Amino acid sequence: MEPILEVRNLSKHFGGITAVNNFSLQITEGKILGLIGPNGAGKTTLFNIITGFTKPNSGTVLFEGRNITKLKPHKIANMGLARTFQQARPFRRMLAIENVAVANFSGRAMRRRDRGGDVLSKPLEALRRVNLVPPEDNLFKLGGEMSHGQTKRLDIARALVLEPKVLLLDEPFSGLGVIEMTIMSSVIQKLHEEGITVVIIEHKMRELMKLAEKLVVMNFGEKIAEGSPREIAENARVCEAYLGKEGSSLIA
Amino acid sequence: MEAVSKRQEEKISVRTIILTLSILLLLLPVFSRDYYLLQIFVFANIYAIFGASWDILAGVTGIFSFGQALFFGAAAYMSAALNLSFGIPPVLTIPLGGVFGVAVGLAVAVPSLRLKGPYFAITSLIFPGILAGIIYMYPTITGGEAGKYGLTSISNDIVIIYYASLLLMLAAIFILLRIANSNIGLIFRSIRDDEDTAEATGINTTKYKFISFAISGFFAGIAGGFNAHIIKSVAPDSFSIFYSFNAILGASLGGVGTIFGSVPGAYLLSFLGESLRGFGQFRVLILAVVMILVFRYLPEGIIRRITRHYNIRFGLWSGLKRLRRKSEHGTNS
Amino acid sequence: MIEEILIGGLILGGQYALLALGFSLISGVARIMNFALGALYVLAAYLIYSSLPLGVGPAITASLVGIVLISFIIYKVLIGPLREKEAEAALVTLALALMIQELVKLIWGPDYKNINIGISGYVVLLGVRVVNQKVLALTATLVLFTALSLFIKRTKTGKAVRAVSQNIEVARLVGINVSRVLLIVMGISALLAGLTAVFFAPIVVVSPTDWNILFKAFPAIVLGGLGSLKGSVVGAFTIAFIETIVAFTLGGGYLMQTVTFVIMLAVLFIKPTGLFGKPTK
Repeated sequence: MEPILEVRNLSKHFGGITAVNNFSLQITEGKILGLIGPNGAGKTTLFNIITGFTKPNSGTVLFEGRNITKLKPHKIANMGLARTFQQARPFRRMLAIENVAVANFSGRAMRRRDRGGDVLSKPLEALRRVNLVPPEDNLFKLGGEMSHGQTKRLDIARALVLEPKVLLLDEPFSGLGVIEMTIMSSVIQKLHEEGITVVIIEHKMRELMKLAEKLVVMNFGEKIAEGSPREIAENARVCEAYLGKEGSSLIA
Repeated sequence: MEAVSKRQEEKISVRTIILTLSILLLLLPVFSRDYYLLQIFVFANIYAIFGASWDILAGVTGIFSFGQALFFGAAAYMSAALNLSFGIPPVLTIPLGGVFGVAVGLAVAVPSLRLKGPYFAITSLIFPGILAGIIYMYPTITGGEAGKYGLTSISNDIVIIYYASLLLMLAAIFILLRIANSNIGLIFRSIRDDEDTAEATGINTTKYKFISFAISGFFAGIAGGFNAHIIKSVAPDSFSIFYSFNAILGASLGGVGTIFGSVPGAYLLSFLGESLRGFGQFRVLILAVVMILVFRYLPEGIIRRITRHYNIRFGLWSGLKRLRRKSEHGTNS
Repeated sequence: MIEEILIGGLILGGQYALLALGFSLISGVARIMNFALGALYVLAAYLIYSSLPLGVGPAITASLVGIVLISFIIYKVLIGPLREKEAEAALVTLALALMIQELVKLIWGPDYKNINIGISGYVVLLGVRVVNQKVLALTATLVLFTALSLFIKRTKTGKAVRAVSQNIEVARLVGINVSRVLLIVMGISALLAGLTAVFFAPIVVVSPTDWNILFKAFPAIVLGGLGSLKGSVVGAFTIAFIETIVAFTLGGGYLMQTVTFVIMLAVLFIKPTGLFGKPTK
């Protein structure tokens, strides 16, 4: 079966630094894939290249078989490939409901919605799916007033209004407390059950291991391992470079 | 939806205030026919439109430009050309000036795509200078430094001019407010708050920036064309940086991003400027001090200060109205 | 003619560069456009003028000290509190420049003044007669630029300045006293503005409205790249040379301005962050 998202031989350097080095990856539809590696390994750069925020020096990005390498970010988003950013980026001076409603005016949503459709139903539904509503008061909180965990879920809600086929989450668990992590976990799990392909960059190994069906390890811009969480945990090379004791103890 | 209901109620009382003020302004000539006084209002109205044109671009869409005078002056010269060379009356040259403003706005939008925030802001200082330079270089066509004079007046009666300016201002502010609170305004604000996120949300930021520039250019052009027909002349100083700052100051005094704020801002600047005439050489100094005080202690602008006191949120997106209706019908959303 | 262009461009470039350095420093580090710097330049010149009876040396010292102190007051009262609101801070400095202009007009009168503290005589370089003062000014610019660069790179305070310019939050976390750093930056910028007056005012006359000389520095800074000192200097000389070349070949005045602007736009199209600019946040 053709992978829903594929990158082939991607390379990107900034000045003297190689951020991504001949990286290739195939992502199967409907799976949850975890992308791990030390800081500076090139994971976020990879996301930026896939979603059109950075142009690679060489290589291609294919989404549903179509070459999207040179497309602008909004076009890629409108094709059904959505992302969140590492640092939660809400529209700070807009209400939560407004934050999410902006997605209603994306090309993708405009094409889907029937003429004269309700501007608010999809945003409200998305906010429910990420557990931001109820309580209803959250609707009127300014993006800049929300807690860190809330803004992360707000970003996901916004992406959901796009009705994406693939969702790239960049460190969704970073900065979250225990309860919020549980909520986030269940949100991601629900998305998976709805058939959305999810790719997660994460450092919080415990949470990721519970969700991911497959892991890809990246370091110095290269893929150094790929496989099931168990395989990765047992991979000596990976353990050396990155997982250390934490990963090994999780299999026990 | 108590929160929304309360806000809507307070907004209605704000609406009452605005309505009252508008009626007072409409009735002004009944109480006074003083040429000098009415003329101050005329200019205040023009600058209110000009300030609001800057505000939709900078305050709502987040594109700070120091070169608003470019649209102003370009439209002024276009109106002048149409009027002097082809005898077209002001009632047509002014809208056509606005249309020319759209064209200039779209032209300026192009570099804004390449240049980020502060770079664009500083570069925009220079755009009016380029056009002014071209004007100086071809004095036979453009009238050079002295400019052109002899434009037809809008009317012989200052009262008619007053009403024309007032109605134009009310219409412009109304339209701009509607835009700012519309779905497009929502998109503008998303670009202002975080352009990358807006892009990642499938918004074609390039397209909407162009739209914002076009709108800004149109209304700045209207102001420029109207102004030209009031002073019955055009000169390169229409491109002067002081016009640009006039727009920015007026909008900022009122509150950047409120659109509405340009009205009290422009009125304040105009009346302050005039009332200080008695102080002769101290005039500009006092004006400068007042501006420093306002910007230092009321950086959010006068309107925001007032509405903050009453806990009113400015610029309610029209889409939120459906939330209120839902709550009224008892639907559990 | 080439010699005249060369020398003329160098001298003009020096003047733009000195002012550009001050502005670039504060806008790059504090991320605030401080329009008042141009006014401080004018004020410094006038202070020298009034203090001349004390002798040239004391007059210059008094003027520079005065300017720096005034800049500290300005920073503490007006700009510091508005640090988060860059646009409003910029507007305050604009109003401030206007206010200083009017004060100068009231105290000293609206006419221009000659500041005769320069050294007299001339020297002949490459067959071109150059006034000594101009050579001195150019040398001063280069010396100051070098000194400033060394300060930023080598000294502890200088490194703190660099840290703040890159990321204020992280700098604070690392324990840097950000307020103090910003104050120092303000002071250095003011000092540079004052020194521009010392070295260049004797060459040109000074009038109260001259704070808009800053608008000549803008193209230089944008061209060179915001936040880059080297860029500001390179940008300043580039602009100066373009202006000089155009003035000599095509004629001065507005044509020169227009051509300069157009070239500047062209460069920015190719490199939107300027020649040496660091990408902004």
